[in-house]
Amino acid sequence: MTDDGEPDDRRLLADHLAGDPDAFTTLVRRHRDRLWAVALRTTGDPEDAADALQDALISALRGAAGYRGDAAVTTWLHRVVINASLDRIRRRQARPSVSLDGHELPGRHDDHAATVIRVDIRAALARLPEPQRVALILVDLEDMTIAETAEILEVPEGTVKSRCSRARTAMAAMLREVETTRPGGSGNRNDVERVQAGEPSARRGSSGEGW
Amino acid sequence: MTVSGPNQIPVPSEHPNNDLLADLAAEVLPDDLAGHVHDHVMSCALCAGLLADAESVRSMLLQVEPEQMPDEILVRLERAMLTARREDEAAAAGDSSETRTLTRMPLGAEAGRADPGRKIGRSGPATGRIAASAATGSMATSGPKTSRLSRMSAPAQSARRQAIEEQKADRPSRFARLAPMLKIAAAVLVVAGLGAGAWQFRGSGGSTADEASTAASGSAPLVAAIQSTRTDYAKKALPTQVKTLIANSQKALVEGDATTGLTANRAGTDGMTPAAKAPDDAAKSAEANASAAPKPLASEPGQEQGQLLRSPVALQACLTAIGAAGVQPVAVDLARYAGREAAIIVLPADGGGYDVWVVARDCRAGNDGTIDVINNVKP
Repeated sequence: MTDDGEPDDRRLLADHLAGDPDAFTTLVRRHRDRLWAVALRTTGDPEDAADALQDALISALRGAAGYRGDAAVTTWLHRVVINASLDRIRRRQARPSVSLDGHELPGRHDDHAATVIRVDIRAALARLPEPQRVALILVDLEDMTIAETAEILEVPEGTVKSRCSRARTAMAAMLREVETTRPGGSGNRNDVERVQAGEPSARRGSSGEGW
Repeated sequence: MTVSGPNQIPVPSEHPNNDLLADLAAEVLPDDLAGHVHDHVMSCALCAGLLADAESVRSMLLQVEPEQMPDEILVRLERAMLTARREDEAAAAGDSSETRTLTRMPLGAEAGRADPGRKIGRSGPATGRIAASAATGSMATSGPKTSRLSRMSAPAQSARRQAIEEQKADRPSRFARLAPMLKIAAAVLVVAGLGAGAWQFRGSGGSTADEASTAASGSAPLVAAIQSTRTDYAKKALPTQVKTLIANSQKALVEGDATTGLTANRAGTDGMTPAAKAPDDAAKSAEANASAAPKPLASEPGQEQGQLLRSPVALQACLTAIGAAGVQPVAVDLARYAGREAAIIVLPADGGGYDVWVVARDCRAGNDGTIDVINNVKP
């Protein structure tokens, strides 16, 4: 049971396997926003995210018996969603690509600082290599631990650390580029400072190369 | 070494690439290499600045508000899950009789399905099209498609059975789940005792394939009172309509007056007007009256043509087509559904309810013409 007296995730999954027609839906509703965020951030496209989530949830619904119980239900669900999202990306790559830079996202032209940052971040995420992007989404956006992420991705923890760190470094470099190309961008404060101040991002210079 | 910026900060001419810097921050570099990169960073404002920014990315990302799932997406997902569950339940209903057709399935047809937590990496038709296939009546109800779904759901079914066993203690009685079957058994016994002329579908004279199917499944001969009403079944009123249909069907069997399938329910229509009522009126009644009941039909033009379910062999074939070979129907009604001609087949389901299959009246092997499947209807 949860603190609210609701059946916990494992109970819901067991109920689903026992034939309760509503249990799995309850589980999905409980985690809907997190699962949506993971799918959206991984695919970078709302339509692909919806398709991926549908694939994932039907797969999970049918394969619930495959849940071994040695990880949290959310860990298992995240893994299913990420796999489906990556699958969706691979299918998308087989057809003409649409750059996120030119994609009409909700609030794309909204001047609100948070929206600008969000679009920047989503565009930057889309440019990351797939393994780095997924690791960063789970650790930095979903606030999962390195251990949880390693479990979801089925890689060593050191690999997760490396992927996250590389992703952050790449994002830092990309966000610098974004700022230098944005009209009116200034170079005095970095993105973090501006996000904290509620202002559009600003980054200086470009990353070092060599070695 | 060069200088950079207004403060003349020394910058080495050769910088480690970003990955090396990142791995240094992640503390995953071998000691000797880490030492070199560390030394560089300590003397390079540019690289140190990049690492500082990278470190700040995490706190920046954590501040990003997650976007909430739009309601329309949730509706779409729930609809897709419902369709998938119905498909699985329909396929599971035919599990016991699928041995013969399973052997025709290519091995690994369901690869990647058994454990969705594993890398999927599959291709082919998206699951998202399931709803469409169900809507067009091409749901996996016959031949290999049924077999495939049955096999896909096999692990879940197995676990489900296990879970049910484990939860026996939580359930007050198994009677509710067995009730439909017990009712049928009781009806069959009464019919046998009376020696009445209820329709007994033994498949004799049918195709050898049908006979083989029945034999393979080890099913008992079908005993069903086929009713033929003009009832326009509607999803909303289905529990009440099915309740009346079952009652009339059992009564027909008990009274041994089911050979025509027309007479047994005359006295049990709960005040409904008799047969000649127009379908539209029937539909309105079904909506308006919670006790909407199937109405007996005195005669129906053309009922012998294009309504193969009147034939015992054809009914057997239809049951096989919808993956229910060997399942004893509780009731069958040649009627209407949502304004169109249809056959209503009521099958027992777990939990004391009934699975109601709405199929074309010429439902047959290879073309079941499924219109709708409503699982676990509880009258």
